[in-house]
Amino acid sequence: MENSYKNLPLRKLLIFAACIILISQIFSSDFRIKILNIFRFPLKLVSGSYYVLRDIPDFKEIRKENKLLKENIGNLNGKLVDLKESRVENKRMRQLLGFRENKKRKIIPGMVIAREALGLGDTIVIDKGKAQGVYKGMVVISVSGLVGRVRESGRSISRAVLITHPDSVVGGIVQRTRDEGAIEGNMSSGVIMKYLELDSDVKEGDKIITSGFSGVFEKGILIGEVVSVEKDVSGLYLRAIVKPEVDLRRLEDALVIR
Amino acid sequence: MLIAWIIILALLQVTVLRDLNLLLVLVILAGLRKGPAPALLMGASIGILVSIFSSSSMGFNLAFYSASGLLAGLISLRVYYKRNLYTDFLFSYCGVMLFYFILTGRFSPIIFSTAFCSAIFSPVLFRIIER
Repeated sequence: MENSYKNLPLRKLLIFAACIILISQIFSSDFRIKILNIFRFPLKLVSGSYYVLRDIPDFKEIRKENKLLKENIGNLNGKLVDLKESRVENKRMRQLLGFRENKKRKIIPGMVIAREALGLGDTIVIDKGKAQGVYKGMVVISVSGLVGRVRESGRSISRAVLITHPDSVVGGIVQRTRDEGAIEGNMSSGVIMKYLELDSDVKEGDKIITSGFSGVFEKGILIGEVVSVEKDVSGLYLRAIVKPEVDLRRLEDALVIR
Repeated sequence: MLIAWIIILALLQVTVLRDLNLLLVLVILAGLRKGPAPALLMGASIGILVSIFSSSSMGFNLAFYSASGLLAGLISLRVYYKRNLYTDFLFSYCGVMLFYFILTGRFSPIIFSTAFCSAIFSPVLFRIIER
């Protein structure tokens, strides 16, 4: 061990540091996602097995839930007929008022096969990529609400940044009061809604949805629920701590909006 | 063989053992048992591998993991190190905590649990190093 210490002169350390800088320049994000694509199968295998094993203790619960869901389908079918009727009426009214029809969105379902390697859980890896139509910048949701946005896309794999990531900023509005603000990821608190007016009536329990102002996230996707409201450091605005609607730590399936 | 183990640990870390950092414990143990130079190299290799599974920059991971190995190696040579499982556990625990403290800038409960759960694996991981 003494030898290994002596073999570490300053010059070698400097060469090592130079190599680090060089490698970090060569390894672009495109190159990294290409390598990650190689690991797609083992990641999918391990994650898939883990999800199955994790659900085994809940099997009885799942059967009960399944029975309940089947019963609900009958009730929902009745409501669906009413909704279809309303839709036709809505379409007719829109045409009368000259509104333009929104583009129909296409959803690409994917499985979460890996998480952030540093264990902080701010990014996820999905088993769908350019081959399936998933590209950089696309919005990722789950059945409960907003998840994040695709940051890198490979052939059959992509990495998405979660709304809890410090780099993530989403325009949001409080569903009840229609107050606007910026939803930012925060390492300690999860998600924070910033720049709310001081006279805003935001309360604990209020739902936050996407505003759609940026043109990236479509309007009305559920983000989360307000946990607490306080003045920000400057004292000019309010900020709300928001609990994401989606359990991001247990996320298994993700839906990419095309 | 060591490379295969490192890849297996990386795959487990990003899928099943999400809240742990076994690769960091591996680097720290390499520093303690093998000295700074091998730990520096191992840290650099693991840093590159982690970058593939991480959204943070490659240079950041490379530097952090290499520095962890180097620091652990220098501490074992110059400050204190006794070859037993308790010392391995303690060094791994403190190492992981320090790593996340520098990364996040604060000590949160999740850092303590991540450090503890990762350090528990040190008796298993040191066998990989000894091979």
